Amino acid sequence: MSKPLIECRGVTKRFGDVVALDDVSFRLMPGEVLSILGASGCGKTTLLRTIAGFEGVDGGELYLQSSLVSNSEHHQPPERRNIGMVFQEYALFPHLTVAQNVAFGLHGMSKDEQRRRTQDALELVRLDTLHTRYPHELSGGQQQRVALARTLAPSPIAVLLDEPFSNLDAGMRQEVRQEVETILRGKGIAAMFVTHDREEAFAFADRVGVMSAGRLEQVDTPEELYRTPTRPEVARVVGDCDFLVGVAQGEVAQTEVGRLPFVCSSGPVADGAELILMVRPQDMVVMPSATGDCVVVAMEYRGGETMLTVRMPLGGTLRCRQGGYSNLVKGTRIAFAPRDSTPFLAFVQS
Amino acid sequence: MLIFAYAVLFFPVALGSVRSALLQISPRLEDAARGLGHNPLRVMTRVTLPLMRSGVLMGAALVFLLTMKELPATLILGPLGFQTLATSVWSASTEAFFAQAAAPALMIILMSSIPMTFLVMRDKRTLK
Repeated sequence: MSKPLIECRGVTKRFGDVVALDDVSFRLMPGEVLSILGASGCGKTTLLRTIAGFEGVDGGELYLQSSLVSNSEHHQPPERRNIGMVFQEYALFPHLTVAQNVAFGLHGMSKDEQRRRTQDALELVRLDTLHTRYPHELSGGQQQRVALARTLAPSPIAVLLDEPFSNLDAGMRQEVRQEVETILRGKGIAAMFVTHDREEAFAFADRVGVMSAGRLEQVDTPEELYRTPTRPEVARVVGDCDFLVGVAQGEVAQTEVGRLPFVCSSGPVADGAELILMVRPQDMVVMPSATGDCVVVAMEYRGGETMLTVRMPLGGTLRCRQGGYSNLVKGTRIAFAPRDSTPFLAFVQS
Repeated sequence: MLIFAYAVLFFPVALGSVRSALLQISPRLEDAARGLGHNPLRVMTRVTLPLMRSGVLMGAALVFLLTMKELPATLILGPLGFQTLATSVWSASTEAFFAQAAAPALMIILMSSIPMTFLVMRDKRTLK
């Protein structure tokens, strides 16, 4: 098995009293694209800055290609790490042309080599015709591509991207994202990017890490994350869901909307254990029922489907997606039934 | 003495414009340069100083302008018989020789217009 390019072992970083990174561990393998998903302020940018060497660590170890670059005593400066970083605001040098920007990381090479590499990098991002322009003469998407070319030109061991698409307008975002993905995948470059956009994280990463309050909660493939989150917080970040409180009784859990089959994320549980069941909007079907004790309180028509918000007997609400047109009106009494026999994922209440 | 007085008087002006030039440089640019394999010294010479240049020149132009027209400090601290354009205008006009004051006054205007043009052109370029 090949060696990880980046490996974090229990990395901790504090700013005063604020814990920005709390015992973060993960590996980035060659050719892999890893995204870090989390709300703003959860420490994801700090994680990138730590890997790139702009910040030291207060605990744990950071290895690049199996050699130790950061721990609480030792800190290798960023210029000796050969990690490429694309900044959120691109950070192009305003006093240099596009070509000079791209060549900036190519010092210590012959002029011919520099020219060739600059040319290659600009061709890769399809900007070779604009090499004499200055950054302020380019559109946001073009600046983004220059920043990527500048980062790729010195052939870094991995590329880190900080919210790479958040400065682009919605129309361009998709296009630029696909382009960046094509470039990275085409060259087999390992990359790690952080985002607060779930769709973005899922769209082009092999694995997604969910981060909250400085902790890297879970790193898994998008599908695994969605189907088997290890914690309710992760479940909420990776997709719409609601939670039902229930009590385990053998294979089923007794909840306020009836008995539901479950599997527990942390293994078998004893009868009587208090559980939290994760319910995705597509997991339940609703049926009008005169004796039902749940009431439809809101509905949102979304073209192909209708999202119902249902108030449950104990006052909590559950969102439920109904295909096509739903003839339920607000105030209708309903009963729930699981859509199929797939057990619901449950977490032991702590 | 006079030079020291000028330095004390105009230092804050120069500092202000250099400071604002420095503050306008995003720390991300220096990070980016470090990340591209340059040590802090090279980052300074290749990124920070070039980007500060306009602020430093701006400060120099401003100080030149102010020194040209500075009167009180020159009168009080200048050596005996020391004349600047501003003092000649002043001494001529206090004795009502307005014709004699006209030439140095015009000179001040002309000399000041050089850094002014420079400042204005700089402004236009940064506004673009």
